[in-house]
Amino acid sequence: MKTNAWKLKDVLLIAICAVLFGVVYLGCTYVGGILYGILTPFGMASLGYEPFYGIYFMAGAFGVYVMRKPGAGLIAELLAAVLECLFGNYFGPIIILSGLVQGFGFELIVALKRYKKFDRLTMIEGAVLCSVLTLGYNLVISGYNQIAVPVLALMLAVRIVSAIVFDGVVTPLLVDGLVKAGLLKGYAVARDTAVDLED
Amino acid sequence: MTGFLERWNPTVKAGTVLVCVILLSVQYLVSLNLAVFGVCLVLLLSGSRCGWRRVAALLLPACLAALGLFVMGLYYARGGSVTQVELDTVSAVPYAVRAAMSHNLYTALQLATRLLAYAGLGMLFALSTDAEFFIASLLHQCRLSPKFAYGILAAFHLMPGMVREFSQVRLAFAVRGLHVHPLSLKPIFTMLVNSVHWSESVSMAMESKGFAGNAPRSYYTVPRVHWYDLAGAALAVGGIVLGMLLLHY
Amino acid sequence: MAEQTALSMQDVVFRYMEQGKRNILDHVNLDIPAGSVTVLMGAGGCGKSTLAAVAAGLYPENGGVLAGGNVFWFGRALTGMDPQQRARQVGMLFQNPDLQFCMDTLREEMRFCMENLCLAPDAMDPRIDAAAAELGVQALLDQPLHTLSGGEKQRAALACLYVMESRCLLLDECFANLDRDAARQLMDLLQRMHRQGRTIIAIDHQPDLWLDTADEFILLGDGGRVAARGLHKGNLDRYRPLFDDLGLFYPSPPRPHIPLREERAPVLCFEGVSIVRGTVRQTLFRRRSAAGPLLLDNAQARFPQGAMTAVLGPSGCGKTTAFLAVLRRHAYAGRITLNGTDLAKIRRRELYRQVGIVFQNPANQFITQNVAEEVMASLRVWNPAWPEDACRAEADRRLEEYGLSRYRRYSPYMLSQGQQRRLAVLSVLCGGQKLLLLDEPTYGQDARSVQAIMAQLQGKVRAEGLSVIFITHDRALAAAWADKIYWLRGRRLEPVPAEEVLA
Repeated sequence: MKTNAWKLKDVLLIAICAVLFGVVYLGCTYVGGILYGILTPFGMASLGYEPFYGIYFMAGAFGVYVMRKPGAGLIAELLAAVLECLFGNYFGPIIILSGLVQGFGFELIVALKRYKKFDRLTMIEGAVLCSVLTLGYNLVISGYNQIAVPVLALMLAVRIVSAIVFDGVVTPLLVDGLVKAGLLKGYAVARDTAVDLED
Repeated sequence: MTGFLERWNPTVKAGTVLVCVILLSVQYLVSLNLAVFGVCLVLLLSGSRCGWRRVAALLLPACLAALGLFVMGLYYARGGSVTQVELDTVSAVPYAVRAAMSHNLYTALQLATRLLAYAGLGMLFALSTDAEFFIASLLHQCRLSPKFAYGILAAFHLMPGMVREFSQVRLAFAVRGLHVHPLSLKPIFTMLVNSVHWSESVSMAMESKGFAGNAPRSYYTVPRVHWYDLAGAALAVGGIVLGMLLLHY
Repeated sequence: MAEQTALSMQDVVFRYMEQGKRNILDHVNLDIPAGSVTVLMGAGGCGKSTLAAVAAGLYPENGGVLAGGNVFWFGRALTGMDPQQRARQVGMLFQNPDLQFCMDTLREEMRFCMENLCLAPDAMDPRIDAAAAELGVQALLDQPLHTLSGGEKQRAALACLYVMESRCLLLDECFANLDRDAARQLMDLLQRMHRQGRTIIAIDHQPDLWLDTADEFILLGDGGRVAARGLHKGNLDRYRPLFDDLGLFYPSPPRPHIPLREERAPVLCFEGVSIVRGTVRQTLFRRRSAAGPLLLDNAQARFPQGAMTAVLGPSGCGKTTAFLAVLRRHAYAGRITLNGTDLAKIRRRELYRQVGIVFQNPANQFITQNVAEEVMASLRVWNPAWPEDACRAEADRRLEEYGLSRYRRYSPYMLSQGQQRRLAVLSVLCGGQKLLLLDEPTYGQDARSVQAIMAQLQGKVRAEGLSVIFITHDRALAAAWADKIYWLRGRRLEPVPAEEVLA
């Protein structure tokens, strides 16, 4: 059995959901923008988007949780990044670089567990690692190493909470709902979840 | 008539942008950052078909982000942080604060201009690159599998329909007396249900048109890397390296 | 195996779950001669769409298990053919026109198709031009596909099959969402392609459009097995009882039902209403409404209370947008009154307590993951004071009334299209809404489900004074159920008698 090969419909599912999460994120940037505006005079502007940072990783979390095979996190995040790039984000291909970092976060955690455990705890660990890695990315690429440590710590804390909520809790919850509705037949997540239907 | 930016091979263009970003990330020259930003804007407006409106639409959020980062750097730069108390009593301790601010001011400028330089490079790519061309180039220059290439394109083209459907789902919920805000999970769940159906339908439609993931196929056009694509890359990278060597602030 | 047989299915068994007991296709045997036009008919849930997907080789690749049997195309076994070889034998047209493309424009989509078949690049343009000329789709070639209407999309999809030169066209309810004119245009193209020697196999639940074209109708029963074949225009009347048995539309001119005699007070009034297409776009700088074409121009209409009113018109003419205006989700000029009160003066939440809507795709309005919970959630929204067991009892009563109590523990998404629509109607009316808007109630359903839901609503209209306004492109449906019919044409709403609709 070639369980490791991606089918066209797998690629489409992850890509379409990545677009969906992108749309959700776009909706949140309006809220984030307001928060950003309020926080700017206090020098905490970048904190405005942090509460929604976890939405960035949702494609990766979704990919890992649904597909449950090596490479799923990385591939899902790369798909999302390329799509984001096509939609005309002002960071263009730089998004692909950060997508790589994000995908690596989930990939590392599930790889350490030998691609055998995909429970909530794993997802939460992945979310935390993702937050840490992306902050590392910000330190190097965005020059956040110039910012005082307590502020960075605060940003990281908010980011971790956001990631845990969106990727450790919400994403598995949504996917489990899909499984219960009988929609993900044939995906690894449905094989691992017993569904009891009849009375 | 397309500009030279649009004809620049997208893979080479993206690679150039990434190399430039990595180079810029190891320097702290405000002047170089601003120069990169300016050159990118000029190139965009002169070398591509995209009008100033589209540039402005992307520039505005980028500038806002830069402003936020600027203020953050001003207050909380490493080593010379000013606390809120000190700021509130700014006239009482003018010297210390001014000293801290002047140090911070430079850091803040470094942070903000770096973001602008990135945004300039990113926009240079985003606003001058056709989706089909980019994916075709990834397919041929980066050996991206056709399965992924056309999967991405299909998802990309579903976007308008998805936005339409999303707003209808929200409307349907509102009419049922439910209050929906941007983060309501229920409409997102409904859209995920749709996404699963769509992925199945589109996959079947593509396969019924003879598309097999990795089977050999012919190509109407094959993007190639020409000497001028590489020359452009060398020029951009060389310019930045030169700037790093010659500029001091 | 003879070359004269286009499709041959031998003892095909297919199910969705590996360990599942229910076979969707249960020992199907079917031969379809080459060069013919054959229509496969079956009620919803008989497995006819699955049959098409299995025949085209899309299942089990995309789901399910082929537990036994063989499929042959023009004498060649389907197993062992790759998608490329399959596409040369059979090309498919799907029900949902929005989900058939992966490229931006028809020209690029056609290139994509020919690339899949490894056609030489310089052979592509001539073939595109020839196809466009033959099918008259030149105007569609370079428009973004997502801006085309449903009918245009189906013609575009057909043009793709044309350039691939598939020997057989397999159509899975491709007329489902098209109005009469669009359907005729598509039929015209199909006939043209048939004359060039292509075999056509169509899956449909309505024979009307095919009467003059089809060589044979085949009726499918449970498990996709053939219930009767050899039907054609001349002998169809002999099979009338079987049509009824299977729950299929029989192509008789529908009797217009007797509308209400007396003039009733209007529940909803349009007084000089004008609506412009175009979405209000949020740009970075300001809200800008892209003024599109005028959809309604100074329209007058009175929708009677305690009656069913149909709004007829081709798809894309603005019927749904008019509904959105009634829900105050689309700007309009003029005056709309609900029970005499100006709509602009009613608060939205209050409005939704009086007006409910069921959209084309009812799955879009489910708010829970359980059928019983779905109804209860709605009851709670509108009756916050009710105790839990009162809600439960009321939900049970309503589910019983709509024949859904068997499924109370199911996820709404597991129900059939017809059941989903019934559930949507049921939950939308939980707040005691007195006006129900119904958008394209026939969408994706067979005769029996449509009859069931319309009869149910008619009962509620007569017994409880509910008012129903439904929009449809199906003239027979309008004539059969509506007490009053408005025709949206020339940007006006004109009341028309049922006889004129059927003429």
